[in-house]
Amino acid sequence: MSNVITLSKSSPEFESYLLGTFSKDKRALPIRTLNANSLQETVTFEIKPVSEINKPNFAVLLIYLLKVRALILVLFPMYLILVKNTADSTIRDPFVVLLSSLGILSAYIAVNLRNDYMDHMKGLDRINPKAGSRVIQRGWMTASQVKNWSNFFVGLALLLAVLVIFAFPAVIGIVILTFSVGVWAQFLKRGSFKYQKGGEIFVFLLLGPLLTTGYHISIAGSWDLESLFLGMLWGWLVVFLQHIKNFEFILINSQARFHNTVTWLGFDKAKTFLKVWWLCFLGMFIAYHLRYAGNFWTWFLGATLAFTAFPFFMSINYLQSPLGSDLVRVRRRGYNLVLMTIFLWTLENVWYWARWRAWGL
Amino acid sequence: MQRNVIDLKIYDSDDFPAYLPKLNSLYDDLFSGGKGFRAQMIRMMGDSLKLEAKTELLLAQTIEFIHNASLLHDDLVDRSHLRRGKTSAWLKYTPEYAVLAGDYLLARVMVNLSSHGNIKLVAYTSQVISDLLEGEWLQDSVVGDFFVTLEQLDRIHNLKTASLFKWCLRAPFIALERYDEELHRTLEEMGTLLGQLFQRGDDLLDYNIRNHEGKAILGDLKSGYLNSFGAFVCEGLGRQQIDQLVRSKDLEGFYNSIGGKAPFDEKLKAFDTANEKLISLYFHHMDRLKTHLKPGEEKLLTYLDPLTDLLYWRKKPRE
Repeated sequence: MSNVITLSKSSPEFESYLLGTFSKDKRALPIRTLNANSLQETVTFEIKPVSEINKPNFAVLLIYLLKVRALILVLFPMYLILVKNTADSTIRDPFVVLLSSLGILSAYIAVNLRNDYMDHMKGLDRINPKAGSRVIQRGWMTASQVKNWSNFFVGLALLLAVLVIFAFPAVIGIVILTFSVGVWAQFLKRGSFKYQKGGEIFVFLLLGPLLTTGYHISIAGSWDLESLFLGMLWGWLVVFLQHIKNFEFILINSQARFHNTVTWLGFDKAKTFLKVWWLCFLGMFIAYHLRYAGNFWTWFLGATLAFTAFPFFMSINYLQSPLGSDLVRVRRRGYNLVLMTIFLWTLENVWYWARWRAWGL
Repeated sequence: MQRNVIDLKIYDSDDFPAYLPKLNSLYDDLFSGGKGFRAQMIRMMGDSLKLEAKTELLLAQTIEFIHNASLLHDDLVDRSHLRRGKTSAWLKYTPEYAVLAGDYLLARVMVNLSSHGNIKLVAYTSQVISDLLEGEWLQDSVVGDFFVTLEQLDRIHNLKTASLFKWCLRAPFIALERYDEELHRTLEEMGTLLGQLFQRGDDLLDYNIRNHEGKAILGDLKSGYLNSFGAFVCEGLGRQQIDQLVRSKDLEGFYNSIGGKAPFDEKLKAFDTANEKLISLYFHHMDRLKTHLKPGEEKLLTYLDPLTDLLYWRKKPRE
């Protein structure tokens, strides 16, 4: 195989092949990885001329690169905060809202791209066929280009954050904290805590309380308890998704020593952990609604979510193997549960918004 | 090369004490009839690398002990009634004896290797045994799962099957105290590919493809295990089709479940093409291996060259 090259981590060319900077007109597509995430790592690349790579059109590339489906993770909490502030009539300056919305989206895209880049450099996307956007693996972009785009969006997010800080100086604390957590989680070459036990906390903070509180300040000029509670609730739900995904790949991650809470707990305890995590969410969800919503929505949503969780719980109970199709079923049912939550929550917010429009309540 | 596998049964006079009831007859049954392919691999490595006869015997015996221990456990786990045409040990003796006999073989491996004195060889062999057991555990956990993917099965086979092939290639170099990391990575890649190819070739026998050994047809499927070719065929099929496929009583039924013999042949062609890529990769790594061999060791390449033909295409070895 003349178009194949195998390089070890100790090879001086290794990084340039991973980054894709070894040639301007060729791409190195990893086809096999041995001992990923270790000093003994060896990668076999297939070398292809760029002209031979079937690259999709720009729109499709963007859909993959930006993981458009996953944008809901950031758009939904923003929607919740917007509805809340609309109903409370606390929107101070729509232009600042626009700036902060774009800033949050830029920051989210930056972290996502950096995540793909880090997964590629560490080897996670090479041992896990579902990790990352697959844009690098297919040769559509090089890791180096993804990293540059990530840096661009970091710059854009910071610029927009500075403009928002001018409008509402109170947001500076949140911006600094968010930036620090993001750097700690994804941008350090060594010591990044994404691949450690409990590393999911950065997802909780970035997509949960930091996002909702910061966004709320940029809309209303001050923070409030409800936005913090909303953030905690949403962050908890997003981490639930993360745990499910980690659970699906518990074997792969454990073998390659990519640590997270699920690999630390192991297969049997993680099964219980997922159920407990969901029940905690349900408890917090009901508590939030008891405090901030009416009785009907509290018990209607609570009962519906409790009922729809049964298939998920049953699929976990039935699970026998850390490999195989039953894991996929657990993931699907877990995702459906989250989608159901989002749907019901949206319905509730639409109702509150309509009530506000009709009667100003 | 001409020695029988049963010759490998004894390395040390303490190996299998005669005062233990049934132990020796159980091992006689187990070892006789085996092809001893892995031991032959060790001999071909030993021949090329000028390994001492005693070390070569130890390594050949070690791999056969590990392999046979896994068969004892496998037959019990799968409830297989036959092994090499004879009644399985767990049925003929008792499940308890089968488990203990397997454990005893693994214990002897450690005792004999320790006496050789190369701690790296002991450590590596222990790792291989643990990989093998992990693979067996995982394989048992997917029995009855007819939606398992080829990629998932590859992970199991890498632990269960490829680990022994890797050992056959690496252990002789370790015994010679040649620890060059690049060399061992290359051998590990080759062993992984050989294991994968062997397993896939073996899985094809289940569908009567290149089945010169006359292996039982659809045996895996009937015992609830979708093997690698089965998983490849199932890719893209709907739940209903897979349900029909797993209920196939014979090959005709299997062909019908996927729309006839022609689609089956197409799948087989695609499977072979995918595996030809693995074979090319094997030769790519063999080229890398050349740079690590000392003068006079090139004979090893002529031994390694036909292995893919033998293991995947099931061609008879040239004399």
